[in-house]
Amino acid sequence: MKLSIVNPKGVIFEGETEYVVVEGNNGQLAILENHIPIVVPIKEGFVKRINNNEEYFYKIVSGLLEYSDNVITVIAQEVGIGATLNDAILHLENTRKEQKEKNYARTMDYAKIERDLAKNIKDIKASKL
Amino acid sequence: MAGQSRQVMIRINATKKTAQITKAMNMVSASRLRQAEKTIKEYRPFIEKARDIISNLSLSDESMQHPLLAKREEKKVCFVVVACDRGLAGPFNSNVCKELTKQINDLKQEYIVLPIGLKAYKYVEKMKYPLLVDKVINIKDDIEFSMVEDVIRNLVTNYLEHSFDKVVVIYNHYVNTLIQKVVSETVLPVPKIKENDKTKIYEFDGGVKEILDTALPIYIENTIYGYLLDSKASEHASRMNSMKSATDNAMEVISTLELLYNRARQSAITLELTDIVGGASVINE
Repeated sequence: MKLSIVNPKGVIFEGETEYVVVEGNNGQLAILENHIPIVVPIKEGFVKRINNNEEYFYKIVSGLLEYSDNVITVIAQEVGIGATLNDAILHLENTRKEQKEKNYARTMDYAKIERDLAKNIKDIKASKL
Repeated sequence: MAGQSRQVMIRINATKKTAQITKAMNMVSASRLRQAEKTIKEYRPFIEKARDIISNLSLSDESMQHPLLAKREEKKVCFVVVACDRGLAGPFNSNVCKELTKQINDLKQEYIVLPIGLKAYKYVEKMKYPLLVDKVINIKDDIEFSMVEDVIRNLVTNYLEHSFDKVVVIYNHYVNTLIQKVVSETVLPVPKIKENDKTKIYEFDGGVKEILDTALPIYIENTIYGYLLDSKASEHASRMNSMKSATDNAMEVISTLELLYNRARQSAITLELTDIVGGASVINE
């Protein structure tokens, strides 16, 4: 059974899985091979992928799971990955925080060179050439 | 004479510094553009999958109705103008603003504007168009969905509350590094998605309405987010080009000024030489 999990930042997981457990808006359900086609809305929940008795958790915020022809597609706004559900939640929170800090630093750099440029343009009196 | 050549020297140095900065900005934009292109590339599979799912849904149930899908009588139109926070990006900002004014002038119905980016906000404020949200919505580099989440959700909520009946997004579409095109797209009501041939019958966990309630907002939010990403790539491309021509112009100015400087220096030397030669010939006589 194929599983692909995508969010706006790219493909999070794409590959084979034995079965998945999904927690949607209306509780949990497991999807095994040859399940009937189903769509599950996930406001806030998780998708658990099981391969050789190993579990991987994907914490999903605002997403949708679609299953048909043994292909599971999960689209999600935000995804956190972890070996346990708590790890996945933690991962999601950390990514959010990191992104915020990175953005702030970048904006500062750019503002500085722009200010320098404005000053220089004034200094050269380009209009009076 | 010496004073004049010193003045020219100062200007040459200042121009060189400017050229350095514009060149740096050009390079910064080039690397940001690469980043923006990468973001768009990564985002694409998501929106394609979302589109697939929704088209599959609307196929499997013909009677599927949802307030976000239904067309209404257009009494009021909401324009979302996507510009950027900073200038020095060539015609990037002015192009979308011009398009907005053109569309507003052509429109017979009432309208309201949601500017995204400081430059768009300033323009809308100057033109005294009615604003949906009276505050600046910044659009930073490396935009994240979480930054615009509230704005887009607010837009959808307002639409559902019948504050307006149509939402049009005006933005710069990134074609390639040299070409950026102003495009306007209707996002609400959700335009019919081209359906594929395969018919699938689904079981809906929680019912059709709940699925659509989740799927459509995700789709709309991300479509708008996609436009923002597209616009961001255009911004960097546009800034890259304008900074490139600024650097070229600065180089031209430098060569003109150097000519001027050398001429002044030469004439000063000639003057000194004539003085010396003149003086020497007087002594010799």
